[in-house]
Order: sequence, then C-alpha cells, then structure tokens
Amino acid sequence: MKGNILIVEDEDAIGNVLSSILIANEYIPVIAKNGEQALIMLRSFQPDVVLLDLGLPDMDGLRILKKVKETHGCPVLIVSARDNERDKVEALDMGADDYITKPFGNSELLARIRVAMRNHSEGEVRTGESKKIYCCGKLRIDLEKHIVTLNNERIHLTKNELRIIELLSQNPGKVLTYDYLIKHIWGTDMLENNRILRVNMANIRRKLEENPAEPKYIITEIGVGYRLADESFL
Amino acid sequence: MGPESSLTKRQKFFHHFFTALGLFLMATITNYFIIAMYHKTINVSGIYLLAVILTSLLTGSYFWGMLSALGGVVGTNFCFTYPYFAIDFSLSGYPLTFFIMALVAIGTCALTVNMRKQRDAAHRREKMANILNEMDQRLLQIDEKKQIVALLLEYLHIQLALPVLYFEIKGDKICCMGHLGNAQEELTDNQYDILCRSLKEQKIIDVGMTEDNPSGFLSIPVIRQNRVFGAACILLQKENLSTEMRGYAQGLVNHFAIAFERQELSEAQQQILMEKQAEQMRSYLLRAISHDLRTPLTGILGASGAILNNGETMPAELARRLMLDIHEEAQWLLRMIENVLSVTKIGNYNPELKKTMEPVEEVIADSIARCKKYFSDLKVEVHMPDDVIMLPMDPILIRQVVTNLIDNAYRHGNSQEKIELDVSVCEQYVEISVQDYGKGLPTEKLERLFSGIHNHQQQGGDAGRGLGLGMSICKTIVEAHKGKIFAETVSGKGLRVAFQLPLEED
Repeated sequence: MKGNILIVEDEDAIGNVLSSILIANEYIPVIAKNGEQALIMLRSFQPDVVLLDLGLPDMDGLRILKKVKETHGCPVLIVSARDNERDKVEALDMGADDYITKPFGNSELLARIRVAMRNHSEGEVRTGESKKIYCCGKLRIDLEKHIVTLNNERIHLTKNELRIIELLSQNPGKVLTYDYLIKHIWGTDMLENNRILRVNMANIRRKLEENPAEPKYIITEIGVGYRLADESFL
Repeated sequence: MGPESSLTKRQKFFHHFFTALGLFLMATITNYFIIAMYHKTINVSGIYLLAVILTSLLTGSYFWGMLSALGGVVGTNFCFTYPYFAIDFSLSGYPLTFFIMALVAIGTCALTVNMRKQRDAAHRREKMANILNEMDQRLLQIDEKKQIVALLLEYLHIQLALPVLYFEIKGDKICCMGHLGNAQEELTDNQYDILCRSLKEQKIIDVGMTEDNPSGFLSIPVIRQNRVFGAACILLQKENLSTEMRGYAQGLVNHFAIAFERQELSEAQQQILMEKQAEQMRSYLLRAISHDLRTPLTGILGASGAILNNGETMPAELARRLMLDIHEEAQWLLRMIENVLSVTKIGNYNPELKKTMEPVEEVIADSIARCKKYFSDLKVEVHMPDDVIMLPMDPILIRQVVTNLIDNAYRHGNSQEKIELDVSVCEQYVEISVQDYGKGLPTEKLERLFSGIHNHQQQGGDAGRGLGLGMSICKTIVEAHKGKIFAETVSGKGLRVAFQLPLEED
C-alpha cells in the first residue's frame, strides 16, 4: 500500500469517485464529510496526504488546513470547485502543498499526490543533509554547486535567476506563489513589484526553454505562481 | 500701480500734450495765413474754437480741452489783436470769449468721453461674445465631466485673473474637483460655510473685501432648471470684482451649467445603452446555454443509460466507445461552462476588470497547454517578438479568449494542419491572432461571427456547436479590456481571428 489518504469532501459523488480512483491505485482512502469529522479522523487515521475541499458545510476549509499544518504536518492538496485565483493563492500561502481544480483528470490527481508525498518525505530527509540534484528531462540543476545544465551544456544565469530556479527546484512539481517567490528572492519590501519576478521568469524561460510559448520545465499557473515540472508530470 | 501702467500714463500725457500743442500751433499758423491773405481778424476766434473742439475730441480730456480754450483766448489776444504780441486784458469781451470756448471744450469732452465709454463697452461685449462663442465650440467637443470642469476653471481664471476652484456635491459631501491659480484645495471654515449656503440657497453669494476681511470670496452655484451641479468659487485679491465682471463670470458659469446638464444626460444615455447590451448578452447566453448545453447532456444521458441497462450484453468495444463519448461530451460541457463563468466576471456583476500586468507569453503558453489537454494532436506554431511583452489584463479572461480562438481554429479549421498564433506589437496595442488552415468563412458570416446569432438559427450539426457562444464571449472580454476583435478569411490559408489589447492602462 502506498499510503493513507484522508478525503475531506461533502459531495458523495465526488467522494466516491475519489476513493475508487485511490483504491484502484493502491492507496487507502477515508472520507470525512464535514470539518468536524475531518478533525477527528486526522488524529485517528493518521493520513499521509489530505485531499481538502475548501467549501465545507460546517466550517471554512482553510481552518482545517491550518489545523493540519499546526498539528499533523502532512501534505495537504486543495481540491476545490472555487475557480478563484485569490482563494488558491491564499490556501497556498497558508501552507497548502498544491491545489487542483474540479473537474480534474485521474492521472493529474495521482501525479499531484505522488509529488506531494515525495516532496514531504524528502523534506524530512533534507533537514539532515542538504545535498540535492534536480533532474527533469534534459534539465539538471545542481543545488550544491549552483550549476544549471541543459543537454549537458552549462546555462549561464544571473544571480537572481539562479536563486529563483533553485527555489523552484527545491520543490519540484509544487506551485510557488508570486508572493512566496518575491519574498524569498527580493524580500518583503518588493512584494508590490510583481513585474520584476515576471521579467526574470521570462528571461529564464528564454534560456531554458526551446519554445517559450510551450514551456516544458517552467510551468505558469496564471494568476497564482510558477511550478517547475516534475519528472512524473512529463 | 506697477511701473508699466505709469509708463502708459506718461505716454498718454505726452500724447495729449503734443496733440493739444500741435492743434494750437496749427490754428495759430492758419490764422496768420488768413490775416496775411485777407487782412481780416474776424475768423481768428472761430479757428481757435475749431482747435478747441478737435483737441477735446482727440484727447477726451477736460484738462486739455480747457487748456486749449485758454490757449485760444490768449492766442487771439496775444497774436492777433492790437497791441500785437502783448497781452492786453483791458479789451472787453475776452472773458466772455474764454467762457464760450471753455463751454464748448467741456461739452465736446463730455460727448467724447461718453462716446468712448460706449465704444469700449461695445468692444468688451464683442470680445466676450467671441470668447463665449469659442468656449461653446470647445464645450461641444468634450463630453467628460473632468474636462468640462477644467475648461470652466480655465476661462474663469484667464478672464478674472484670480484663483478659482470648483466644488461638486457628491452624496452628502462637497468635493473639490479642481483649482487653478494660486488656490489651495482647502477652504477656510468661513469660506466653506459661504459655499454651502450658496449651494443650498441656489444663489450667488459675494463676500466682498472690507477692512476687517481681507479675503474676499465669491461663490457662484452652477444651476440648471433647479438642479445644482456644483459651484465655482473665486478668491478675491486686492480689490472687489466690478459689477460687470461679476455678471460676466455668472454668464460664463451659466453656460457651463448647460454643458454639465448635457454631460449628465449623455452619461445616463450611455448607462441605458450599456444595460441594454448587458441584457441582450444575458438573454443570448441563456438561449445559447439551453441549446448548446442540452445537446451534449442528451449524449451523456443516452450513452450512460445504454451502458447501465445493457452493460452485460453489450460488446466491450461498444461500451468503451460509449464511455469515450461521455468523456468527450463532458469535457466539452466543461469548456462551455468555463466560458459562461468568465462572462459573469464582466458585465453588471463586475463592471471594473481587475487588471494586472502580465507577460503575454505566459497567457499564451497556458492557453496552449489547456487546449492540448483536450486535443492531443493539436499543433500550434507561435511567432512572437523576443522581448517580453507586459500587458495590463485580467489574465484568466484573456486566457479564455486565446483558448476559445485555438479551440475554434482546431475544430473548424482543418485539424490535420497546424494553427498559427502570431503576436505583434504596434505603437499603442498588441495584436494576437490565430490563423487556421480551414475553409474560412464567407463575408456575410464573418460579420455575424461575434454576434453569436447565426449558429443558433442553423440548428444541429457539430460544425456550429458552441462557436457562437465562444466567439461572442471573446468579443465581450476583449471589449471589456477596451480592445478590438475581428476576423478575416485569408486566401490560401483559412480563417484568421485577431484581437488587439491596448498597451497602456487608460
């Protein structure tokens, strides 16, 4: 078995679909139909991943997200029908590991779960030793030596570009919000200046992508942020 | 008095002096000639009288007129009566001559001054009429309230040479809409009270300058048919406004009242038009949804029903095909719903778009990625400038436009061929176009492509399905961004749909 997954979802139809997909892929799902149940099961079931619907009948999904992050610390995937970028950004900034908008494809859901679980377990290991190399397709990022290569050729990036790509590669497959990136590269003073990040990203794309209109490695989540492609997405 | 006006005064003095002196000398010389030719002195005082009249006429000054009269009497006495070249006051009748001449001088001067006054007044009236005319011309060309206020302030300031302010009533507040000249936006409490009173009582209040109140203040409400639009305030400096200038300022303000009224009417009209359009869009959407969404739902219900009822007996191949149909129809439904959702972001619900600066390439990349999820064999060839283009837009909505255009090009063009997506930057806008290699559309259909009507009438057939809805939503989104969208058939290729978005935020 690959792991325990807590599904917090009030709609029976979607809960059933999710749990049958997960069972078919060797996960152990449990469904909580409201926030109260979810909080109880969090303690008793000890999930490895939480799939969280933000629109719950008894409480705001963000409260559960906060609770999970405070006590349990396992990865949380937001599954929401709310097609509002601001909600997504808010959830991500509060610590959600990823979000997926209804309706979604099965493979997409499974890939996101895999990435979230892997990033989480690696995160625990990483605190011990920080050596890491990111590899995806022909792109290779050596986080220790600060070297980026594409097709075994070294790519020259500016200092900030390198910091951005390294930050993204520390969380492959995970979307990092604009604010998160700006805060970590330029500091909180620059939060208003979204443009500097966007231009830097455009420049990175020109150096790493064959076709900036169909990027393979740097994926834009419009209105939310950026993610670096993960091997399992390709 | 400044040095400039004293100079003109001195010039005027010399001008008058030389006029009077010149006329006096000319009269004296003429007298000499007449006496030399006819040896009669009968015309002497007549000639001098003529000089007095002319002097009074030309100078319009009592002083020079009287002086000229005196000169005439002295000249007659001194030059042309015995004893020559000596003043003899013993001659009888001279005081009388002087008196008559002085009377003529006074009378002529009075007439001249009056005439001049009338002439000047006529001049001023004509000038004002010209200014008002020019102002009306300019007023006709503007239709924004801000511009009207700016023009009002400009005219008042130029004509009165005083600091002016304009205030408007907004709800229960009075806001300063603009100021010109050396005026601050803040009024003193006293001035504010006067302004409020003049707005409330709908009349001009003029607090002139006095010894104890050196800051004179004039508030002229802008009224049209009992509707108060606001008030123009004039800060007096040094001296009070003449009655004439006050009347003039009021006339000017009244002219602007008409402009404000016209602007309000046209705004209301615009609002009605917009509401009508939004209403049309809504009713169109409802019709389109009921038609376009019912078709795939029928397919889904039929296919899933067939599998449920005959699942066991049905060949696996057929069951799989039915499930594929369900999957495809559901995906199509989803895309349509995304379209409909995007429209709720515009229109009455949200008149102001929330625009951010976005790199065009990211929006395009995301649109292509989305389309590829549905159409795995989609081929899009993108041409765009190397420079990063940042555009103010709502990225989710523009992504919807690009997705719809690619979707449309894929389904209605020749899906085996590639689709070309071009981005070009012009001076004031960025053009994004999608070119397919299909059959294109005849001109009459091109015109109606974005109105969403024609596909409705031609019921059935997958070719028309959803096209109208998607395209009219594109138009709604692009126009909400103050852009343009258009389509053309390119010979040798196919249909080309392009939209332009302004580079600058207005």
